Amino acid sequence: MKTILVVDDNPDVINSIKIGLEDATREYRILGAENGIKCLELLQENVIPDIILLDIMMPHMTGWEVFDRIKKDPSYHSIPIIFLTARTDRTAINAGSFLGDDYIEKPFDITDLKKRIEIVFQKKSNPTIK
Amino acid sequence: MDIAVLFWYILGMFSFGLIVSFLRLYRKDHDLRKIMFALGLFPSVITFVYLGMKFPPPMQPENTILYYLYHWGTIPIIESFFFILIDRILYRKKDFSLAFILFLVFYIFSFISVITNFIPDVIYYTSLQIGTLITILFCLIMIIKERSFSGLLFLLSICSFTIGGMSLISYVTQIENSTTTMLTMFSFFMAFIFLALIFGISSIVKEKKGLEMHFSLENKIKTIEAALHDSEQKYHHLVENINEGIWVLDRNSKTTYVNSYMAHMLGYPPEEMMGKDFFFFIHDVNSDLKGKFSDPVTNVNRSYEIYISRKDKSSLQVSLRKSPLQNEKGEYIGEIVVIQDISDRKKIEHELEIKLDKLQKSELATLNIMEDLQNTISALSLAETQIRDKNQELQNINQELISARENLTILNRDLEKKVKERTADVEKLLRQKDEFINQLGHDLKTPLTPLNILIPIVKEKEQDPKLKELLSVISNNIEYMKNLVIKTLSFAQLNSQNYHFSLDDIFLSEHVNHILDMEKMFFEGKNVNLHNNIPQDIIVQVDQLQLKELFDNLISNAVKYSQPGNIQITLDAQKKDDFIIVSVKDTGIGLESNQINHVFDEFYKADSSRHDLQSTGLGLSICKRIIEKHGGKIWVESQGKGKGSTFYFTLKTPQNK
Repeated sequence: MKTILVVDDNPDVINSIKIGLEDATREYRILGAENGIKCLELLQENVIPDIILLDIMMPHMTGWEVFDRIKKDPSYHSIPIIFLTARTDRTAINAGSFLGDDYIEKPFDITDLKKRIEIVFQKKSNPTIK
Repeated sequence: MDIAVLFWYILGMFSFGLIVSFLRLYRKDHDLRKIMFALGLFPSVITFVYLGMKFPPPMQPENTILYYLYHWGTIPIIESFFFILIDRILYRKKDFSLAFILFLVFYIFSFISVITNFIPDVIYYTSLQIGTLITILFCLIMIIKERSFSGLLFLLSICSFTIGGMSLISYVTQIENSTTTMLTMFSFFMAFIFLALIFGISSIVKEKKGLEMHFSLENKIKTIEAALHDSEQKYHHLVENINEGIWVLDRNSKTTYVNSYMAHMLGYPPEEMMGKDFFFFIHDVNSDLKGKFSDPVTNVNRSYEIYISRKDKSSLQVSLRKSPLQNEKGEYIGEIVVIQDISDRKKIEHELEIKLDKLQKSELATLNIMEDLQNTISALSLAETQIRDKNQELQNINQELISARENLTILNRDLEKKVKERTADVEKLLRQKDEFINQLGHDLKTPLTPLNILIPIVKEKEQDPKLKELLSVISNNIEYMKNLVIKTLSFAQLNSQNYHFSLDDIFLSEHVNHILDMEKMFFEGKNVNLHNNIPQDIIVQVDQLQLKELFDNLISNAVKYSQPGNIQITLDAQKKDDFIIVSVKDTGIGLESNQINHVFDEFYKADSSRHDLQSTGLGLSICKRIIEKHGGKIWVESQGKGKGSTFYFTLKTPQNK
């Protein structure tokens, strides 16, 4: 079972993903963090997820900063990150698509999310896949 | 014969020789002084010859004739000296005849007084001594004044004569001895020598030198005569060949000579003019001219301009200059008239006058021109003043313009400042708007996310068909709201001023394949067939994200407006000119002609009669905006309802950058 860490300041989003992925498929374990600091604390507590779904617009610490911290730490830098963004400006889209492994715009379908997560895992297990 | 007798004879002969010489000289030069000396020497000759004949002389008073001769013998020669010297000192040879007449009077008077003895001896001797002294005095004056050698000879000669005369008297009267005889003889002899030397007469002295002197004198005379003749010839030649008329008149204005030029001027032969009155030849003779002409004193060398008559009766203008002629005595004997033909000169003068007149006229014309020029200059000066005034006005206007421009510049600067401020405000507002849109998008999208995830799950788990239907309504509305939010924000961003395109050169076909891979994911189970026929070598210049959105919209539209089942969507592209025309063809429901014109309108829906939750009415508006931002065009073609539709749009190639 793969662990997915969802970092979003809206707990409804975390819960709905948890319901949508964990309960429905039972293939994933969903962990939630309400902000970037909690995300980094979890990582420091040695809770290493298989993938992180990272919201961009969050209080205290933005998704960019969290991303930066994770990627700079050799202990976690290999964890794939999919940006969850409600932002529609070019900066967000560009950063999400090119910095992270993927990005998905809010509001998204759970099936769409699931497919993208699977593609990321497939890419990770087999880097030759585009 | 006693030697003394011989000496007296020799002296007599010597005296006679002198007389002969004087007479010969007189014959040559007609100088009365020679006669004077000859007469003066004559008593001496008689005295010396008589002394020789009666030697030794008897004592006084027995020999009365000899006594008289003694008295008279040397007096005339002293008289000669006296008058010659008087003439020389006082009259300067001007007219010797007066001195000669006085000499003759005294000569005869002395002879008579000696013969008749009517003058007492004392008076006689005293006057003789005074005369001798005066003569000696004249000689001294002559020597001192003229530094004359002949004056010295005169003095010596007179002294010798005086000594000789005095010793002769003492010899005759009583003191008869050899000493006085010798003194007398020697004195006379020396006196003659000096006298002969004075006049250069050598006939008495029979010496060789004296003869040579005589001959040289004659030669000199001959040479002078030849020179005179030559000079006369030259003078004649000159007068005959001169280019002026020479006309000589006597004191009665009768012609005595004309040169050939003068005769030629008048057209007469010279001999025909001789003796004719001068005024006979004058054309316009009048008494005034005659009066002037005949006055020899006042009109010397004065020039007249007159007309003379030629033989052929024509007249000739001449210039006349006359000067009086005098003889040796200074008496007026006529006129010499020099005449010059001035007709040519007058002609030239006349021409000159005409030219001068012309010159004066031209001067007048020049003055007029000068006046005109001055007027012109005045006008120019006035014009210059006006121009200066105008210039000043222009300068004032210019100054005003400058100041207006400065004001304008200030206004402009203020305006620019205000524009900048306003622009900054607008930009700030735009930024705020963009930020607001982003925030709005975020805030709208975020709560939709749990709904979007949870409702389908709830719907799936619900067993009650009625509730399930209600959940479907909710789900569809959430989907619609989601699409509406996304598209509205997207459209707003496309219209935003701050939205920047990022253009890249990409291979269109390859890029489209990536997009289609993503699209296929969403159309699983819908039997949608996507065909990419775009040639692989086509490169376009696009913003990749915008291109993806464009294709998303067009493909989702095609799927949306197709009957479920076999949906065929074909993508193609071709090069036309500098553009790439891309087509997206579907087998959908197609469009009617009235719809074609509105499909790109905002919020336009093909079927407005129903509430279509699948369409926001913004998809094609976004497509149009994207293509416009790329500088291209988008349009749609359809054969009609049920016949599918093809969307075309143009993209730039990199060459069209």
